[in-house]
Amino acid sequence: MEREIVLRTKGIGKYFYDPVKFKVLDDISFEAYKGEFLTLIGKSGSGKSTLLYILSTMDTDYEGELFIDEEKITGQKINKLATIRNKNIGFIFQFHYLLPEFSCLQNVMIPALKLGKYSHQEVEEQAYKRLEILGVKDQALKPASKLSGGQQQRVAIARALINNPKIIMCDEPTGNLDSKNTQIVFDIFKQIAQEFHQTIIAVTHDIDFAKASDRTIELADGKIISHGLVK
Amino acid sequence: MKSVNTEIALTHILARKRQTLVASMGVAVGIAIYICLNTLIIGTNRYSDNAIFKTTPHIRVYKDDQISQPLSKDTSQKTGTIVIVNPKISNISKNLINPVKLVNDIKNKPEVTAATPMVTANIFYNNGKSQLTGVGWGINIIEADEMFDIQSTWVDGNMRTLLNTPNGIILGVGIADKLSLKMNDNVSIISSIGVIKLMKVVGLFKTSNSVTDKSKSYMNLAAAQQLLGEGPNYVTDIYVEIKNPETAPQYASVISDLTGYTTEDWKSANELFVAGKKIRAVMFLFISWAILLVAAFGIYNILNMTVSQKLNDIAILKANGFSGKDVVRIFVMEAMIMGIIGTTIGFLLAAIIVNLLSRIYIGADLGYFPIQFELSVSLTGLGVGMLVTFLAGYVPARKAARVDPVAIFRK
Repeated sequence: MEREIVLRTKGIGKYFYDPVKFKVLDDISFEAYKGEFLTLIGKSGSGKSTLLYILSTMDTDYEGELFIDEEKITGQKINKLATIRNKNIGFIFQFHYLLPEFSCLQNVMIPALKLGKYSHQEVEEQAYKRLEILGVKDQALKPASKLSGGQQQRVAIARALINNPKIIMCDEPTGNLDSKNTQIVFDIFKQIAQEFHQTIIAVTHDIDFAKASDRTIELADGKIISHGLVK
Repeated sequence: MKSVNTEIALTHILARKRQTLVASMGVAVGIAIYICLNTLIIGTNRYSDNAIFKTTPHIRVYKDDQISQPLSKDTSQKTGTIVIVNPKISNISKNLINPVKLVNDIKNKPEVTAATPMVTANIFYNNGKSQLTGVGWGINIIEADEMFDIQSTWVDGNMRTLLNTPNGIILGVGIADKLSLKMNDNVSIISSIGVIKLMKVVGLFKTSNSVTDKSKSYMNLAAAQQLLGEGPNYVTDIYVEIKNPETAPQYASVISDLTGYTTEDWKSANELFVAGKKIRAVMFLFISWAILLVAAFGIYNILNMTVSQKLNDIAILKANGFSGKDVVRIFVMEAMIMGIIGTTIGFLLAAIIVNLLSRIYIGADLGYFPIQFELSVSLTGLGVGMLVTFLAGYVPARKAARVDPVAIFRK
């Protein structure tokens, strides 16, 4: 069955210059499909996080080409990239990274308000819905800094989902969560991919987490050593 | 609908109320002092201009002394005649010819608001054996009052009495004291050419200048003409008042061309005063901007600190699709909010200070402190305050916009 490609890279390479010139990524070419739960694994220093930041459009200093939804991203202006990120990409980080002065609800709403597609009231409804799916609706009006780590991570996931992005990118999403919360996050990811057909690209070093995903791409020394099985 | 940038800026501001207030107070003090100083300088300038215009006309038309010319100008030609030259001030009458027409011509100029003929005579005031020298101003008292506001210096008597008393004289209080003269006393006046005239004291005036009070007197134009042994067509000066005193130096030459006589504007007659005014203006400008600069640094400092503390938040915003422009807007808006709070408080503070200052009694002919609320200065102050805070906010905002989210997330 031919599946729709959401993200594609062609020969991506990147150098670090400090302290000496060093090639972190070498000729990375792969595709990610719609509704796929993709994990990137590799040892520390294999370049998996570096690759994720290139895919996220935040890092523009690389060679090769990146396509999202068959639109060429490489070479776009920084402001255009910000709009693309806002619309197409949701982020989940290891250290949850919520804005501490804002309530959970506001944190979830901010990307949608920036998108400006819906009214303030509609955005609020959507945000409540996301928080409900993630089981943290009762925490909505608390300041983000007052929540536990697992709860904060779920709010961050709700924020990543608010604009219905095509791709959700995660950097060690379960890195500092206990096994119970890890399971919750994992189940949510499965649900996102299967029910909402959004693509998840997660960098992880948790082998169990990777094994349970749809496909695992393994990196070593800046090269892809295994593409995994496309299910 | 409130934009999301505004919402973020407001949340940041509300999360750090005390810092915002401190930065705002810096601006408030700066703006208050800026407005106060500038109001003060306008007030004092207005007062001192008025003081100058009580004795000096905007433009004075007179016939200048001329140095006598040799009969034969060209000594290089070998005519065989040698002329010995000893130049002196030529003994020509200082009369302005046909003064009535001149005054009318000047009055017809659109810029001119008033013009009045004058005769000044050097005179001696005598009472018994005591004698004082001074200057008698022969004037049309009504016109001169309009120009110099003589009435405000009045101590005793009525201005109209002079009109009805051909030999009336109005003395400075210094003369009256020294010669122990009272109202309605007679005083004998001797002019520089020896004409003696008995005059009646119909008024007394007191200015802020004691030398003036000890020498000056006003009398009717005709009386002054008589003292100089001249007829009713004899006028030595024409005093001109124009709409905008600041243009007097330029307009003086217009009047000079019109009349053919020498003109002197009030600025060249009072160069020391004009220079003093300029020095004051520069000094006050310097002080007020220095204080504003300090206030601006307060805002810059606090925003700079905020940006450094919020590197994480900025990276998150950027990851979520906020562009550099959005980040600049957020932080500039925070600066502007501090600026608005600051300038508003500063404006109110200035209004209170100006009000208090205006109640301080100074005395003399000054009365109360010469300060009053100046709308234009306050508006400039508000504008300057906003400009300064914008610039102080823009620099750290640019720094925030340049934050590289990848560098932050990778730490």
